[in-house]
Amino acid sequence: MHAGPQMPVRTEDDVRAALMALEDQAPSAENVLRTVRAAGARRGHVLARALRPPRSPHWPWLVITAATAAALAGLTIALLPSGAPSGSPGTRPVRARLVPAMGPPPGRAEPGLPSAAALGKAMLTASSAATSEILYTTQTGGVVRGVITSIDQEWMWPANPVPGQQARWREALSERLSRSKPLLPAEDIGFTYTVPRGNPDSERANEAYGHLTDVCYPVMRGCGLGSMGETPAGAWSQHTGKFINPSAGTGDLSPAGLAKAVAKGQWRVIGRTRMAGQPAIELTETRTGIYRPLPTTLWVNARTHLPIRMNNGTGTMWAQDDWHYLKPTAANMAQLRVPIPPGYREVR
Amino acid sequence: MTFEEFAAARLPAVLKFAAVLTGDRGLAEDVVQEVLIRANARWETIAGLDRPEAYVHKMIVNEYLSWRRRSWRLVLSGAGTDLTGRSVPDPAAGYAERDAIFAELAKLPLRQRAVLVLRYYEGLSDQEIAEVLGCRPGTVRGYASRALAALRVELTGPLLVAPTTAKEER
Repeated sequence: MHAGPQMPVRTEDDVRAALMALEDQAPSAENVLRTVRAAGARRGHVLARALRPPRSPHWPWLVITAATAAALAGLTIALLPSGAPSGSPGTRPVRARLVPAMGPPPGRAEPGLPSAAALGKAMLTASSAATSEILYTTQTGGVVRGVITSIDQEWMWPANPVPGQQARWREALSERLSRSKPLLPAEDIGFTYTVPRGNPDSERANEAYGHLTDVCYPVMRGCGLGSMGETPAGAWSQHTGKFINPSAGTGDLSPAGLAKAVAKGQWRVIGRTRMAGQPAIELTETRTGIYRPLPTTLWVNARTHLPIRMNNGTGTMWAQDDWHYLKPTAANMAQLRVPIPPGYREVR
Repeated sequence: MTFEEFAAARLPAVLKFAAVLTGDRGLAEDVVQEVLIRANARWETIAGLDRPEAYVHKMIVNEYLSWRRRSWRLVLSGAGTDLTGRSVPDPAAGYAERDAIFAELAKLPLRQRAVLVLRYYEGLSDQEIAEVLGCRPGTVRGYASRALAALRVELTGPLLVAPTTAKEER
């Protein structure tokens, strides 16, 4: 229990009362049931949405030191050719075919494989060393019988920003409303902010001042992030203020977050294979993994110790995440800018 | 009990729980929908459990903790999150204090918030919370302690606010 020199001005009853008051935010049961029943009729497609793993925290987990950088001077980071991502949501081809795992059955590691703890530590060091590259990630949100239901592209620069540094993040989401409809741009968000100083594990490290641009495409009924209000379809908005990242401290798909999860024992090293043309170490989730019971596999580059791909789901429904480190060329840096489609009106 | 019977009897309570957990009507709706779609698909198994509602609540907590969208939220520069959409602070002191707690709750890391909701809204013990979150009771107490400290520190005046934070807020 917190004990400081000042008397607390709130009691546990105050917290209890505040939580009770939040019941007023309960949504309509009718709306929820209607959607759930409709999902039953077209179960496959909607279930795929549930396969989406979380992504989000792009916060620094540690500050790279000069010593760490020096120790990693020889680290090879896999770089894509410049200009690899198109930047046009929904148009990027998905390199989704998986290479079958070559490792032994779960629970039996090949001789010579690193322990999860050692691999996690190496992954954390590797992700920390990526100080100048752009981290480009794609999340294929759900593949149902070969049809992609959503693609989420994200750019983060620098890939591992440090406190006090200005960082830029962009997320371009594309959705397919039904199997017969095309995959279309849905929402495009850009956020420029200063990485907060202080203990990265503290609550305040989840807050940042910055400028956010949000473009909402007609696929959506409306867009927006929490209390800043809705941006209607066919419009865009920009906001400057204090933002928070509520996902910090939970499982996340940033390379540093994955490294921590591996080190903590949420993943088990099961073998070596090749993935996306790279030598890879293959991992599967342990009982403490956050995606269970969905079967989830992670591939980490065996040389660079940076994540390559994660796949979760089974059979005809699965989701996939890919990580790439791009050189900060002018063309690649331009991908961090949210394009405003012609004719879209700005709303405030 | 069929899924429809469960929904008719327990859905309002489930929705309230999700609303308290998320603090956001839209997010609560999304989370409950995702969970119920999955629960409906394997309802026979869930219905056979001792406490189906508790299991659904656990699914909701896990869904909330792994929710990937809406990763950034704008917090008003003054009192904080405005859950009701009002642009002007409520003049009544009680409501202002309530809004302040809402804002502080919204700023907590998800697991800390989940622990507070499970402890003070659901009335679960630390052991029960640990089972929901898949961690140790000691970890639960750590989350609760940090969350409570954060809620109190926020209102005990500028002396307890780190200088760097005060600077950042200008």
